[in-house]
Amino acid sequence: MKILLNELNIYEVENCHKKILKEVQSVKSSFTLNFSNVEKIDLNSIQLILSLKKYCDEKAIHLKLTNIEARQVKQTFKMFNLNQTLGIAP
Amino acid sequence: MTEELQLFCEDMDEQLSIMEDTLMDMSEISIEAVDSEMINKLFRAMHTMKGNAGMFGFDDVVSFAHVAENLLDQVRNKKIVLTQAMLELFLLVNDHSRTLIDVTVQDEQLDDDQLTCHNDILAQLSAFSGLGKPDVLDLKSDKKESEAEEAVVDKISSYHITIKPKDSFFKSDMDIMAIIKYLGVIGDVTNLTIEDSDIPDIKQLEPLKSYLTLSMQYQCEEPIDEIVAAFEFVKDDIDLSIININEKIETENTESVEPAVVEPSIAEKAKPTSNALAKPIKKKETRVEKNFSLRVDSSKVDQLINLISEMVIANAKITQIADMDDNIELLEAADTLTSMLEEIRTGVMDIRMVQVGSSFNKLRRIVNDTAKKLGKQIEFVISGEDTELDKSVVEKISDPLVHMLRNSVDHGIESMEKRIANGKKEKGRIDLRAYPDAGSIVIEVEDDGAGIPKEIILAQAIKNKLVSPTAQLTDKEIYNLIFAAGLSTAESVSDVSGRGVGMDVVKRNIEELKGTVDVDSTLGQGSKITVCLPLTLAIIDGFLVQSGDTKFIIPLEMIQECIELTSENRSNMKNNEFINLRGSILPLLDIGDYFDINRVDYERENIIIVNSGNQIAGLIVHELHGEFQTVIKPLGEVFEKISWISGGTILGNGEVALILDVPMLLSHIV
Repeated sequence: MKILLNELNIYEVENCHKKILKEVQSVKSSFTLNFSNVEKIDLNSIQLILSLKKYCDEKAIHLKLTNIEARQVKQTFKMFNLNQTLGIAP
Repeated sequence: MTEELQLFCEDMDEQLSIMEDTLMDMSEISIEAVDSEMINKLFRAMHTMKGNAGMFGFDDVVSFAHVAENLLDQVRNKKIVLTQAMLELFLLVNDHSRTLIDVTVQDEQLDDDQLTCHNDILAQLSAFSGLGKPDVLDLKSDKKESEAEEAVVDKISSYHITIKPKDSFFKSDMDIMAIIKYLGVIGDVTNLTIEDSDIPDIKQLEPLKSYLTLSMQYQCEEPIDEIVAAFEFVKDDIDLSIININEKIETENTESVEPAVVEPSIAEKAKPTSNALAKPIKKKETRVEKNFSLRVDSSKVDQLINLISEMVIANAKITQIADMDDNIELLEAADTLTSMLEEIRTGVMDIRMVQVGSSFNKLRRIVNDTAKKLGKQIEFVISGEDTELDKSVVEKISDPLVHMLRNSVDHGIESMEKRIANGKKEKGRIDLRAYPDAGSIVIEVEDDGAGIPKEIILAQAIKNKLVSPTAQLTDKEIYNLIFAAGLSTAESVSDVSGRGVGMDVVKRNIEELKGTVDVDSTLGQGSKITVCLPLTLAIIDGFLVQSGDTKFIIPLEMIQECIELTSENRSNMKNNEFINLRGSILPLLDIGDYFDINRVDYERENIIIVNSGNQIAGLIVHELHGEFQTVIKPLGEVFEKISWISGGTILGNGEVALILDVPMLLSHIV
């Protein structure tokens, strides 16, 4: 699933939550979140992704976060030591 | 602008003002006399600015402030000797910080000139603090330097910080990541983790609710207060725990606590287990309570004042009804209510009152810069800084004062050569004073300069057709012509003053505040501009009087006394408009005649003796109703040109009483 938003923030998190939930419930083994459009992410959205990770772990779905290119997004995941947890390549 | 950003701007403004005031204090004494407290004050202001900017993620402001703070730190640690050039540079830092903050808050970019200035200041700061200027460095021996470094290491403390945002934290729109980044600027953040055991899976998740707990290890030189201060803006939206790992801190309210051993989270499972915090550490938790002042939006106070105003009017109505019905109990209750309303009114008004000092101190810079630009030396003396005035009045009086002071520096104070030739001290003097006087606040700007040449003023006014060539004007009237639009006697137009615009605006602004402005001058000795301002703009204690069928309010504080105008007085007046009051001439104004009110025969006439500034006169009225809490209501556009009426008020029976503008009336009589 490609995130079409440039910013993942408090104003978008509810919509984003609905869309991701709909998509992830339809997959069985693997779910990919494509971050190529995302330039900025906040703590609220990090929580959403950790929550998604929890769901995927429970359902044995492999979660992949791809194309994390924006500096702020990379730094945020790094800042919270989440690269390993979320399987993000350094 | 969000409320938080508004607070941020106010805080930054406060810190910049502290910095500017301190720099002005420093510039008024010799550089050797600058003490460590002054330097510490500068450092603290810059440090606080850096911290506040960090909390909002304003990286450009943080990095700029950081460089300035570094230099100040070196100065306060006596690694670098403070020089005059450095003081000048810090004034530039102050000015540029203001620009940088404005631009950043507006989410804009510095323009080319501002960027050049930014880089230039940074380069100069670096030149001072980087060992590029050995002549100003107090070079330490290697041994001393290594001792200093060790001392720094000794000062570093380690903390374990846990931040638990409250459920509604995300809705506060505050960015905790910016705070963590800021902590990273003043110290080292390590092992930052998200404790996610409380986060439900995405099916159960309420996306706007916070389930997170953040924890980290933190090392810094700063005291724990500084760390707590970093969370100032979010303190109501988070639970914060800061444990000092190095030392046990005994506090009365906290007992030794064993950190809870939590189940490793998803994030923690992936981390190496060598984290020192994995072992339970018996340490004490220190929670620092900070005192804080409450900032309230001024519109909320205005709203309160409006409500109180309406209550005052309603109470006046109750009192009147009780009076008419001769209901003693109701009268007593209304009386109690009146006293309580007066107390509430005073309390709320007090909230709006601020000392004029902070506003005055900003003017020091203007006098200093203008004098420097014109090559003059001026001693600027401020007195009465603790005089209190309504905040909105203080804000609005600032621009007129700037105009007046610039004029004093430019036209008032002569050049050094002229002063010496005239036998004066080469350094000119400008006094700015504030003091309360008869219910008003008087602000004076006085200089010991050349004075106002009245012949030139008059000639210029005639040339500009502001007065008739045959007009017979008193000295005071001639001096007051400087407030006429388009009149300037400056021989040359400078970028400081001399275009003939300004003083008329000064007068207009002051009159908008229901104040008056007056000028006095002695050629060769100097000039004095006196501004008289009302204490507040909302409710006043008034005295209700009546002439014919019209009721008027006279501000109580301007009333000196009331006497009867006896038939003997009347006959002695012999159709003149003054009486002999205990050996002095008292000019009179019959309010009924003045406002062309239908005359009614009264048994008794009264003279209300009023004063404003140094003017005194008697107002003839027919009936005295007594004190009245007066809520000032604007009369609207129709009445705006009637300068001797400053507003209206609603009486208990719904009637309107007009509030007399006593200073304006006196200027017509005296």
